Amino acid sequence: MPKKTKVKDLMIRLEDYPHIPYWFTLRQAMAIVREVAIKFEGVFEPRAVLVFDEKYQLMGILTLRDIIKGLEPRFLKETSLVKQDVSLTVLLGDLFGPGMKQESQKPVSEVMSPIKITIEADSSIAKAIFLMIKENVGMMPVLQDNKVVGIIRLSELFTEISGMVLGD
Amino acid sequence: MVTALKRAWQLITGVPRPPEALSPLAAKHAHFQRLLHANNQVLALMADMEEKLSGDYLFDFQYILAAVNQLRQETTALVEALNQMGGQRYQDLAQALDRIMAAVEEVLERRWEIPEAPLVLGFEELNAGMIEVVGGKNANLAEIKNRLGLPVPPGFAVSSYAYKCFLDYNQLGERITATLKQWRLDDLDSLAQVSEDLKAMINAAQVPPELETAMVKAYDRLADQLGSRPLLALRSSAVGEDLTFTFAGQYATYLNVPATEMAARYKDIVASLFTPRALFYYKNKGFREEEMAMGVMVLPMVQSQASGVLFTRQTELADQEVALINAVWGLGKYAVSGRVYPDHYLAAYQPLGQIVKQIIPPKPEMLVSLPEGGVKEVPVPAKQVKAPCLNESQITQLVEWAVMLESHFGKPQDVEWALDAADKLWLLQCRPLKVPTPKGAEPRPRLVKDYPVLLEQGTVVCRGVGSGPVVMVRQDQDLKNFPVGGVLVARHTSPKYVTVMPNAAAIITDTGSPTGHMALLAREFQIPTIINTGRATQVLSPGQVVTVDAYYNNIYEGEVPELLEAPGGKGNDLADTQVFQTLKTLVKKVVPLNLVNPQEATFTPAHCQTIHDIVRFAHEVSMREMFKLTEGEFQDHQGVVELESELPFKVAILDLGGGLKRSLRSKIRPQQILSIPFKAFWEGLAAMRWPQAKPAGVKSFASVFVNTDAEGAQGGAPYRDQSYLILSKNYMNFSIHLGYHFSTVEAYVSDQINDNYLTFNFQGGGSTPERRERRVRLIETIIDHLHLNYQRQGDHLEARLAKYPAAEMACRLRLLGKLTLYTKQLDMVMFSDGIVDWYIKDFLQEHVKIEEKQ
Repeated sequence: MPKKTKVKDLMIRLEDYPHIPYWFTLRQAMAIVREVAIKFEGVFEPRAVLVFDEKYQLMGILTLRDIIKGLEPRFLKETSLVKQDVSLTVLLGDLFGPGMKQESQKPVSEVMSPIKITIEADSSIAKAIFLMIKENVGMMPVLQDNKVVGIIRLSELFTEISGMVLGD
Repeated sequence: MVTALKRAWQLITGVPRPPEALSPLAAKHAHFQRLLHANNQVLALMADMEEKLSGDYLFDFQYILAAVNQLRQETTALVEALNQMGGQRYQDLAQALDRIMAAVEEVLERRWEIPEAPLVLGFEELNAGMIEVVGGKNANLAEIKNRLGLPVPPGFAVSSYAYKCFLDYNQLGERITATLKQWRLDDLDSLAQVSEDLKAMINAAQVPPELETAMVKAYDRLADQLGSRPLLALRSSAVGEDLTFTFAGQYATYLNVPATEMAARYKDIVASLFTPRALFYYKNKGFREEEMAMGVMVLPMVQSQASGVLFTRQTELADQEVALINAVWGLGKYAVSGRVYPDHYLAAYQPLGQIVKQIIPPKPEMLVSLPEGGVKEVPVPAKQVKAPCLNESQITQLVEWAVMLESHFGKPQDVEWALDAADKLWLLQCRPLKVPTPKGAEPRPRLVKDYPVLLEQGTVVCRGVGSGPVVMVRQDQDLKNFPVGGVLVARHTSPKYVTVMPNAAAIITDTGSPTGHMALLAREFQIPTIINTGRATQVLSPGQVVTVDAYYNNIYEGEVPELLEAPGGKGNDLADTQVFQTLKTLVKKVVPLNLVNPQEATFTPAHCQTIHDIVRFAHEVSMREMFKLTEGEFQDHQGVVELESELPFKVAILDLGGGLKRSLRSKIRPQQILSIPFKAFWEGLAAMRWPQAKPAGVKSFASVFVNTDAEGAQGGAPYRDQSYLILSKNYMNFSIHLGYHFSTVEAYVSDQINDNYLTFNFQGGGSTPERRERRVRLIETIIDHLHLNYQRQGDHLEARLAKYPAAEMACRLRLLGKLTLYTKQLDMVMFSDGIVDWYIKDFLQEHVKIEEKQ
């Protein structure tokens, strides 16, 4: 039967996924992520927020990683230095200083990840897995009739596959 | 051609064009402003009329006429303005106004007329019910003579109809009215002149021959009855005199008058109607001119050895059954004039006539009648100076009469008596005695000690004291189950509170207008009311028992028995006068509000019963008319300019006057905004984070949230919504299309607190219904913090605020500006109730509180 399982059977419907307009701030996005953890506990754990424009077009995905990176740009700027020796992170100093609050006011569009790849709702999960590995992403928008209808994530695919492998 | 030139000239010179020449929209707005103005005038007038009924003010019939005239003018203008705004669709309101005004006029027409009667009537023909025929003094004295059989000299009365004949005969009626009109209560300077003019008119007039004949005939009858030709006492007996008010000493009295001088003295007494003192007293007490009819009492002169006054109750301790008598030698004039200290007796009802206290001062002078007529002061014979004027049996006799009089009239009386040469007591006058209310005479202290004062600022709109538990009224539904005796506490005034006024012990609001609808209603219901306390809703908490002292503008914690025991309302002296009654009847046709709730089916012109209803209806509907300004109307208009800013709005602006600082460019920068409300709103908008341009090179995917192809059109031009803005100096109407929601903000902000209002409508959104509803819930909570009244249905929200001072209005408009942007597509993120709470907190913290601090 697994062969008949399609992406649309495993995806999370768009309206169930937290989303945010692109001009909202990181601060507002964080509030959403925290709230999400409370709301969806035991159902699924969204680790990202979808970013839309005013026409409700999906523009990107904001992951926890994006948010944290956005809050402390020195992680990016000083990577080369830190790369030589991770212990040099001490030089980064006040990670939680006033700079961070200021950074939290920047719009999510500046730090979100653009959509690299999408998948049709009727595709097989094999195709989904292949694309995700290939593009190195944890989730993909699912399209039906050229409209985003939901999100498929690696964790749902994993649950499905592990069911097959473990045979229960 | 000429028209075109004229128009061009007007454009160049900037001369304001009359409303007809304006564009339909500008004309509509001009009418709207006229309507607002008239609305205020009417509300202020109504407030004033009610205030007059409190009994604390002086007014005359001229006041009522002027008030009704102004009421008619302003209400007519208001209805006309509404019809102009609404394409003559409110003709039925004009009809309703005609109907109500007719009822008002009808009240004014009810004038008292001097009843037709014989010119002269003997006392035996009279009773207390004939005050209008012969004046109070005649009627009362005849009453005690005929009904109680008390000793009153046989006299006769010259009727008020005789007075009318006297005026008619000399064609004085209209001249007197005209002269009186030259003087109003507030102009004391002209009083003396008016009085002089009137007295001169009377002096120059002739007593009609038939009146003189009637008086002589009556005298002859009297002489026959007495068997001698007595000298006479002529006293005024005005129609209003002695009725409810004591016009004590206002009018002339002539003693010891020979019969031949009767007609001359009659004229003198009539003239005394118009002494400055009497005139002032008359107007002051609220009588109408035609009520100034003078009767005259003619009595044979009692040649008294002693005389004085009997109060059937002593005034200081009116609850005890003790009469007060004072007495002088000779004629009674000295007993009241203060020329000598009279004897002073306090005598009990039980045992009858027992003297409780007496003071017998020396009385060295007395007034006596001269045999040839007239009076003269003479020394009192030495042995009499220190002697009491009355013996015990005479005092007992007087007290016995006092008991009779009081039981007959049902209230204390002020009586003049005389003891003639044959030691017989006579009664010469009897009128109601005014017993001052013992309590409330001295003002209460401003603050009652020992009770914490919670609030001591505000505007008292209806005086009184009330106590009870605080009931917070935030929304209309809070009015349901309003407990009896509750103290209504609200942010602002609302006429809807009328439904609970019969149960409310007091009303307190943070803000409001003393001439607003609610203030009028509070006065009508006599609810102690303090408005504009600024922070009652913050300081007071539900259920907390407070005492509202709406005399001195203090609100105490707990119950303050000292205040509550004090008399609430004091007696109203004016209540029985014709003028007062007229105003009272009139106010009933003007002030009560029947159209309370615009949502009800009875909110129609046909259901208008008072001027207040008309005004309320017009005001409510006018706002709807203004709000109806459609895009079609808008785009037809020439001279629409565009707002140029970085914000994601495409705003077309129509300036109706004073809203923008004009320049030659067709685009307007935000700095050019002059409109007071929009300036504030724009400040709010501009202070927020904007949706900046989308990051370049980002590929977007249409989502299932977008339903139509048009909505989902991909990769189109930058998405900018067309919004419409109508402005004037004090007005804004902004139809905002922003994302998928549509909102309208309309406001009027001026120094006239009564005119100020704002409405906020919000609808739509591109997200799922739950999310949209969550967003509306967020807006709802936030506007509740801003003290707006609102109604919500699904994702549609309607909010209103009125009658806040300009600064408060501006503050709210700024916040609404911020909120408008803040909520742009906020529904998108509203995936749970928890996140709604977070965003509410966020907005309140980041914006509302900061604004409040400022």
